[in-house]
Amino acid sequence: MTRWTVSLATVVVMFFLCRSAAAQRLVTGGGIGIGTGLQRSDLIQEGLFQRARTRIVVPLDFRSDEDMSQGLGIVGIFEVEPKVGFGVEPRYQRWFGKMLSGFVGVPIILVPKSLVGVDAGVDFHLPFGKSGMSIFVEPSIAAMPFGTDLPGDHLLIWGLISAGVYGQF
Amino acid sequence: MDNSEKPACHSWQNALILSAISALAAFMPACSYGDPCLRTTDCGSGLICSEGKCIVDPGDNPSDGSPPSDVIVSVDASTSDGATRDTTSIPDTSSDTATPPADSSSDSTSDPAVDSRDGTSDGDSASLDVTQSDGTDARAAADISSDTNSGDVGNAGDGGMTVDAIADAVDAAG
Repeated sequence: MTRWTVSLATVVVMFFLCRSAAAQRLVTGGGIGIGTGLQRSDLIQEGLFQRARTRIVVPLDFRSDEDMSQGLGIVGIFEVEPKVGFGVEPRYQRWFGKMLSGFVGVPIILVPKSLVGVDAGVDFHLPFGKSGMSIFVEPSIAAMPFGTDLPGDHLLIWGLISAGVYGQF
Repeated sequence: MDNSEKPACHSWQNALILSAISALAAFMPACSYGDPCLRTTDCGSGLICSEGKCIVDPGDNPSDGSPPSDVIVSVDASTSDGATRDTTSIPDTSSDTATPPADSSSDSTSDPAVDSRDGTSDGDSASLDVTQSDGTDARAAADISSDTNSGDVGNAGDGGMTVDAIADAVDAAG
């Protein structure tokens, strides 16, 4: 009886004296940029490419501090010229150091008409200053086979490039 | 200096160069907007994207544009056996003035025609030549004999005036 009492008391004391363990911390990064590029479809009879719509992109990425080499991201897409539209792109990102990362995603244009596909690209981060801010440049290529915004049974291919500012917080 | 610690100005220069390249892509002279469309939303209102071009939406009712009026319409009706009858009737002004689809024409009338249209009743053996006149040469509506529903004049399926009604209208106009 005395042995059990002493053991229980020891456990209770250790429980209250130990410091709380540090759990995983979410590392968030985000930015804003502008993008454009080229688009191609088998509907084009003259020329090779058309200029794609100018868009504003707002990327957000989420990583665990215990594994900073990969994470998930979501990008807001705001098409502004010549026609407006809005969409989102969930993506999986992989970091190869502090300045280079790659991603694969599913761009989804929601309004005014839907457009769904897949894309892949890389991010170049050029740091400036000591505040952790950087300029990102993001070339990507996308294939958009689904959606009501496609006239008929045609595939739309985008070759896009975006640039803007990025920071972690 | 450690090779891994580049001066900050080098990063700025690289960033400016890449940003300039990105901006140039927006002004490539070989690429322009216009009639070609790759997305349905590339076309403006009232236009649809078809085969890579923005075209006018044909709509559901391809009207011939002729205004409803009390013009005298000369109708030549010929049946499948080749018999030709000269008739005159007033078009049904309450309809949308949609004319029957153009088809083979029979003998023309003797009235001076401002413009002429050919029409057939749908699904039957009669063919009609419809000629608009200026109304000065009023003709009594004669009989229109065909294999179609009785009383249809020109406009298929929209319930045209009966022969007696046409005659009364012609008399009133004369």
